[in-house]
Amino acid sequence: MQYTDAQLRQIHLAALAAHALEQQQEEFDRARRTDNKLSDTEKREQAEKIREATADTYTWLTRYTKTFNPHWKDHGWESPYRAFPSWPFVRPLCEYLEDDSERVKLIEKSRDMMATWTIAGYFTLQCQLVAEREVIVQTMTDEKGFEVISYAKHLYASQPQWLRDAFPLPKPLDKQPSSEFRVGTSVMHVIPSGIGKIRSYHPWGIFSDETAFQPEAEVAYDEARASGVRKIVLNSTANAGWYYDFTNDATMARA
Amino acid sequence: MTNLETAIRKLDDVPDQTRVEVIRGVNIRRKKNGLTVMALHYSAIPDRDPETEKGAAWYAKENGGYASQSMWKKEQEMDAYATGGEAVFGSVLGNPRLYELVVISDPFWYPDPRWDVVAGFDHGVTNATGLLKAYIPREALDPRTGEKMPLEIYICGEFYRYRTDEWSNNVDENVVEMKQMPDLDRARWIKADPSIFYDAVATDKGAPTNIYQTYKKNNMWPMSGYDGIRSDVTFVEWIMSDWWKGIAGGRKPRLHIVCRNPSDRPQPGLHPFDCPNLLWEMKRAKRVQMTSRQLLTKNASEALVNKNNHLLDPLKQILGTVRNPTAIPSEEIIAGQIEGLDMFTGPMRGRFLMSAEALGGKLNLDGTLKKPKSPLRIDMRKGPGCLQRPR
Repeated sequence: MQYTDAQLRQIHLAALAAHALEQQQEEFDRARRTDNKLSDTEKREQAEKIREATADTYTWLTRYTKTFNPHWKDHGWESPYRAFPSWPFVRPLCEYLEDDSERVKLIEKSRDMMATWTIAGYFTLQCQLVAEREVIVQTMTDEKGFEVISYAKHLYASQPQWLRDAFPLPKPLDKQPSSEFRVGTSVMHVIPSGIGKIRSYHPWGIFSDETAFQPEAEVAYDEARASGVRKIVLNSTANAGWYYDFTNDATMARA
Repeated sequence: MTNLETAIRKLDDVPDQTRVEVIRGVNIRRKKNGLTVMALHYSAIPDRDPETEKGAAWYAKENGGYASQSMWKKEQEMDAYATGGEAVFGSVLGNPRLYELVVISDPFWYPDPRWDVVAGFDHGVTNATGLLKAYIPREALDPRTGEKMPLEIYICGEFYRYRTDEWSNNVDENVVEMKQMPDLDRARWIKADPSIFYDAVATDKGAPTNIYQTYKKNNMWPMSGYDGIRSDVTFVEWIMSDWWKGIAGGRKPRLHIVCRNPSDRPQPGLHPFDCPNLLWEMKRAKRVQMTSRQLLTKNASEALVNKNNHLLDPLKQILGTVRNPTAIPSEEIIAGQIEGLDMFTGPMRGRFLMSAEALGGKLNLDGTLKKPKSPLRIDMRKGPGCLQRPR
C-alpha cells in the first residue's frame, strides 16, 4: 500500500504524539507511585526489595547509594562517585543513631571520618521513609549547612532508579533551594546557628554539625530540648568550649 | 547482640565517663546525666590504624604534615584543649615545651619549709569556694653573679568545692576541710574578695553581718580584704608579660604552678600540694566574645569571661598583693633628690622638700618622718583636733 507524503507526515506525527503521551503517562504514574504495568506478584517483589534496601541506614548507605568526593582525581579514582565506605565503625555509628532509647546522640570524632555524611544519610533515609518528617540542620554558617543538604541530595540522587521511584520528590532536585531537601512530604532544611533560631520550629530531628565550633551552641541545645525534638544529634571534632566540657562533664555551676 | 549493644550493657557496670570499647577506635561512655557519648578515633579506619602497615604510613605522612603537634592532637586525637584555642593562657599552657617550664609535674617536688606562705580565697555557695596557697622563696643572692634573685612564686595547694549532691558547700564543712591544708597556719596573709567583709547578710537580730564573720565563727584563719587591682586585663598582663615574660626565649618563669594530677574536669576537694583545678580554670580562661553588632560600635573586649574563675580570682589576689610595691621611705626619696647638689643648694632643697612632706601630712608633729605602714594611722588633718572631743 502506497502512502502519500501527507499521510506519512500524519502517521509520523501520530507516532510522536503517542510516544509523548506514553512518556507523560509514565511520569504521571511515577508521580502517583502507581505502576500499572506491574503484576501483583511483581509489586510484592518490588516492595520487598525496597523494604530490604531501606531496612537500616547501614545497608542503605553502603549498598544502595553513593558518596561524592571532589578530590577523586587526586586519589586516582575513575569517578567522583564512590560507594559509601564500609569501614568497621560505620555500622555501630548507624546503630547508635538509630537507637531510639535516647533522644540525644553525642558524637566526638577525629577529622575526616565521614561522620557528617553518615549522619546526613541517617536523616535522609528517615525523611524518605516517614512522611512529614522535619529535620533541621545547624552548623557554624549557613553555607556549611547547605553542604550538609547537598550531601542529602547527593545520597538521594545516587540511589537506583527503582528506589528513587519509590520515594518521589515533590520538586526536582535542581529546582529545590540549596537550603532544603524535600522528599515526599518530608523536609530537611538549614537554619542559622545561635540563640533563638530554633524557636517556633517543632522538628522531629536536629542535626548540629561541628557543635564545638558553633557560638551559643549551649543555649541552642537547650532550646532544641525544650522544643520537644525527638532526635538531636550533636557531632563535632575537638575544640575548646562548651561541647567538650559538656560531653566530659567538665562543667560546674556558673560564676 | 551487636558490639554496640554489648558495650552499652557494660556501661551499667562502670563509673560515669568510663570509656568502653565498641570496636577498635570507637568507644562509648556515659555522662553523669545518663546520656551516652560516642567517640570515633581515626584508628577505627583500618587504613589509618597505626598498628597496621598501611596505617603506620598514613600516620607518619599525616602527622608530619601538621604544623604543630598540638594541632594534630586537637584535630585527630580529639584533645580539645591541646592548642589552647582562644584561651588567654593557651599560648603557654597549650604548648608542651612551655607547659613543662611553668608547671611542676615532678611527683617528688615539695616546697622548701623555710619559704613564706600566702594565700588567696574566693567564697562561693552555688559557685565554687576556692582557696589557693602560694610559696614565696626568701630573698637570696645569686651565688654566681652576686645579684639579688628575682622574686618567684610557687602556687602549690588548693581547696576547691562547689555544691554537689554529696556536698552542700556550707562554710562550716568547708572550713573543716580547709584547716587541713598544710602550712596555711603560718601564712603571712590570706587575701579574700572584699565583698565578704561587707555587712550585707541579714540576721534575725536585726543588724546585718558579713560572711567573714561566719568564717571567723568556724575558726577559719584570719583573712583580709584584697585591695589591689581587680582588672582581668591587668591580671593577664601580669602573668603573660611579667611572671612568664620571655620564657619562650629561654628565660626562667617566675610563676610556677605545681600540678602532678592535671584533669579535664574539676576535681573538687583539698589538694594539699597540687593545683589541678587552677590549671583547669587557666586552660579555659577566655576573653569575652562580642557580637558583630557590638563590634560595630565598640572595640573588642579584653575582659575575661566571668565563668570558672574561682581560683583565678585568688591567684589575682596573690599576685596583686605581692606585686604592690612596698612604699619607699620619704627620707630615701629626699636623699635621692638632693644627692649630687652642692653644699649650699643641698640643705636648702632638703628643707623645702621636708616642708612639702610636712604639708602633705607625712611628718609627725615633732618633725620626724611618719612610718609608711603603721598599724594604727591617725590623720591629724581630718580629726577633731587634740583639744576637741568628738561629738
